[in-house]
Amino acid sequence: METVLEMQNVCKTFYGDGVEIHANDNVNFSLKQGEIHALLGENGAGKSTLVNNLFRRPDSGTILLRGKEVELSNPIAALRHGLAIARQDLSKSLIERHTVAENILSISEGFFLSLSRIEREITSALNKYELGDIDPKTKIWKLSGGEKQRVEILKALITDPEIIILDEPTSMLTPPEIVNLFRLLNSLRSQGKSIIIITHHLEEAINYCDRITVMRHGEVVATLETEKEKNAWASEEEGIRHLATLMVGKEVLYELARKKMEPGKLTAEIQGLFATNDMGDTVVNGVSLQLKENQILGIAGISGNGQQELVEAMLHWRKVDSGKVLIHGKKIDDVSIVQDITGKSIREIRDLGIAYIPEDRRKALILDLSIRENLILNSYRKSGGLFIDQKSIVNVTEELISIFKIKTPSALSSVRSLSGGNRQKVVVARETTLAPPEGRKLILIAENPTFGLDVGTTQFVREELLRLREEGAAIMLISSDLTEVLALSDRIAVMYKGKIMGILNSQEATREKVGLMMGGSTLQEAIE
Amino acid sequence: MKIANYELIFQKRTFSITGFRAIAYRILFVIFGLMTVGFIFLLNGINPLDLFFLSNRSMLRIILILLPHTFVSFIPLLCIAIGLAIPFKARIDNIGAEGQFIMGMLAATWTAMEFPDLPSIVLIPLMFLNGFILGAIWALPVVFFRAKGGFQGADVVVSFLMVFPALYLMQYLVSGPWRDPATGFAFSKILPESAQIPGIPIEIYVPFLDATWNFDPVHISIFLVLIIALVTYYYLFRTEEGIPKTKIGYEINVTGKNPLAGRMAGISFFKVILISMIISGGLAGIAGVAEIAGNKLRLTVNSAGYGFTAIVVAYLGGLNPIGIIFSALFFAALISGGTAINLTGLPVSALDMFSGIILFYVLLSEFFFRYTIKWRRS
Ligand SMILES: Nc1ncnc2c1ncn2[C@@H]1O[C@H](COP(=O)(O)OP(=O)(O)O)[C@@H](O)[C@H]1O
Ligand SMILES: [Mg+2]
Repeated sequence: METVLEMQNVCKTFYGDGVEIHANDNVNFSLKQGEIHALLGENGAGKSTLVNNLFRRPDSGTILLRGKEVELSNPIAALRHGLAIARQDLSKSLIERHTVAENILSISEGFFLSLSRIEREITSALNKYELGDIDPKTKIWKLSGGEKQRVEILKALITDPEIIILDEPTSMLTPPEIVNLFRLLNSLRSQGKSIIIITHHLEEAINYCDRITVMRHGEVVATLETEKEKNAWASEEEGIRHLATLMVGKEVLYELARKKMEPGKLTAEIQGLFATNDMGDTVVNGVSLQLKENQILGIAGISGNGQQELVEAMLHWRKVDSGKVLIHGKKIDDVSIVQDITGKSIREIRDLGIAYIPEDRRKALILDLSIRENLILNSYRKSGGLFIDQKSIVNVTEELISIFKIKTPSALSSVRSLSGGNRQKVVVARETTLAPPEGRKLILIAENPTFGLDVGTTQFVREELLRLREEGAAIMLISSDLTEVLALSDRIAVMYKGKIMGILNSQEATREKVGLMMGGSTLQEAIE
Repeated sequence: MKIANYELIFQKRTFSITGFRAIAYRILFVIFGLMTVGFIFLLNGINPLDLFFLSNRSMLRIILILLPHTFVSFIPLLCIAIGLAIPFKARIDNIGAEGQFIMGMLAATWTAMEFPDLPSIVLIPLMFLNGFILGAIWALPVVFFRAKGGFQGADVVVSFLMVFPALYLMQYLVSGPWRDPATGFAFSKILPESAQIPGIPIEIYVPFLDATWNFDPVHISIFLVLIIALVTYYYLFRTEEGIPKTKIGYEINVTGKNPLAGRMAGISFFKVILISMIISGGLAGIAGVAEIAGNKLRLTVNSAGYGFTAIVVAYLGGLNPIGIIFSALFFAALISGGTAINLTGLPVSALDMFSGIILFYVLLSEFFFRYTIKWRRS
């Protein structure tokens, strides 16, 4: 089949944090007419950078469209050549304060624009592509993550391009929506369109894509023809393992050993919590949960369904509209002490032995201070009075650096000088060693703790969570990575639109059930 | 940034420049500043080398001859700049030290007029105490607007605006209620003897200058401010194995570098800004007391503008008390050397240009400390 798009020796370098990042290093890539081509790779492999090169000039390299060299120096030029993209970072590509139609208007051409015509076209395109009901007059910020993602996809399709590029379009879609999307892509393919899709879900690549290109560290590692490979693989699992090995460059995917453990005492309880987001919409909608010692409670859900606000409300970072967060203390005279922490200061809450690994690293790290100063952020005020106990702190931080294998020449180097994985190790080291008060066990809230980490550090962090669980900690693991939730949790609560759709224990939780519930099915519906 | 075929790349430094290299770079940038000033003088037909070093009336010579006078401005500059370094470190921009300084002067005058019969040993400490309190109070609105209001730049705006009520209050008082009926000018009465901080009665003949250093106008508050500098350094700035001595010192560092992470760990932004602004306003107030009770001895309608110059002093000193001692000396010398500029026929305001240009280079050096700059062919 004819090659419609070819990128030859494409290079793109970023300059950040004192290092040059060769995000694309002499990359060659080709797309054939009428194929779905998957682009795989770990976070940071350079996939987005590669496709973005079609909408701005790369540092060097040539781009050929149907054999002819073209210069695509901006998105409009690309559009005129029949290329369109749904970008990964929606916060950059959709304007939150504008409506759906206004956002799509921004890419329409011509001098006279009619908003109502565009609105009509959007509605009919949504129907045609079966992308669901979205009112073109809604402001973007009012949409859920999945709806935003569908708007972004529509934005790419509505210009009827020959070459469609989708950068992680499924990260916020529910499993049924994903199936729908691929059905749509299939029909576009049969109309002769060519599609590049970037995804983290290897099974999607294997099941729906004609060819697969794997990238690692800014280079292309391999391009496979799916049909051919399928003959060589014994099963889908083997295919996934093969692709994963290509992605990370070594045999990985070790099993996590989750020991069987009886749940311990109830240590924290959320009762009927309501909270609103920054825009004033209620996004935590009567959540009730229980945390027990020796247990990991997984909160599954597509990100943006209120998980973030739930945690913020628990830690008094966000106002609680109604409901309570209770911490159960040790028993005195057979009566257990219950403390209501709703409305207490963050400091009082944290001093009860509540550790927190936020998804947003800016909340956890002070990049311009030393590793040592970052490690003592919880413990510096342990000593009484006005002074810091410098001696003991020096010893403790040296120990943490060696136990957690933080790679650095010195405890006094800035955290900025560390790699992403080692930065996260600093957070994990600090938070998991937070000392709860006498008689209490640690409560740990971890939000997507392995997001964006390399395989080795991901494994390390997960093992650390399991070790804490064995030591008696109660852990609340909020993760949009279903595999992670399923592998680690003793119980899984699925969150959808601010509500808990149901709580499953690890035996009954299957990918399918949890997936359905993430899309809004109740526990009952999911079981049937 | 792209310029023709080249790309200019700013990169955040992973390893900050510290120690002697930092000092050397700062001095280098000051030299650049002096060269720029020199160039401007050149355009005005004045040979900068003569002006700075060579002639009989060069700034250098005048500065040396007037060395005791240098110490007179050194006292308030040092005290205010130390106070400023603390909120600056917490990334709170208190640019209104001038107002807090004026309030210190008012507190000194009021206290002295109210209790002229107290013995010096009681009265002078009381003046300092009141100066501290009034200076601190004048800094408080910054705390509330910055911590409780929604506007991030409130510190800059509010602290600056607070200068004017202080200035007008002073002008009102010296031309009205506190005016000395014995003079035709808007002056307050000379402070009673018991309220005057004694000077240092030393005279040294310096042969190579053929001049006598008369330290009489240098009052003994110089010891007070040096002690303040050292104490602040020891408790808030100095680190041992990378850790400050006090909790609040650490909290100031964290808040300055990433308030979000600080808040997440339970550090109260309000507390940090409250404490640092109280110290900052208080020290500016103390400087005002020292200025009135040691140097001017009476309130006039003008203030010397030390509160603004001290901002430059604090930055040139690298927001570190030890560095600030040297940068305060440098600026105090510039101020007394200003007489030399006067002699060239240029207006005294040329001196403001001097500190403005130095500030520009100091800020440039701060940028350079944080970023590396590279050229690359694109
Ligand atoms: N605008 C940018 N500035 C600096 N570095 C960037 C920028 N965009 C991407 N990078 C870096 O380039 C590398 C590749 O990023 P990206 O293409 O987004 O990866 P992927 O999409 O495969 O996850 C990463 O290390 C990322 O940090
Ligand atoms: Mg990407």
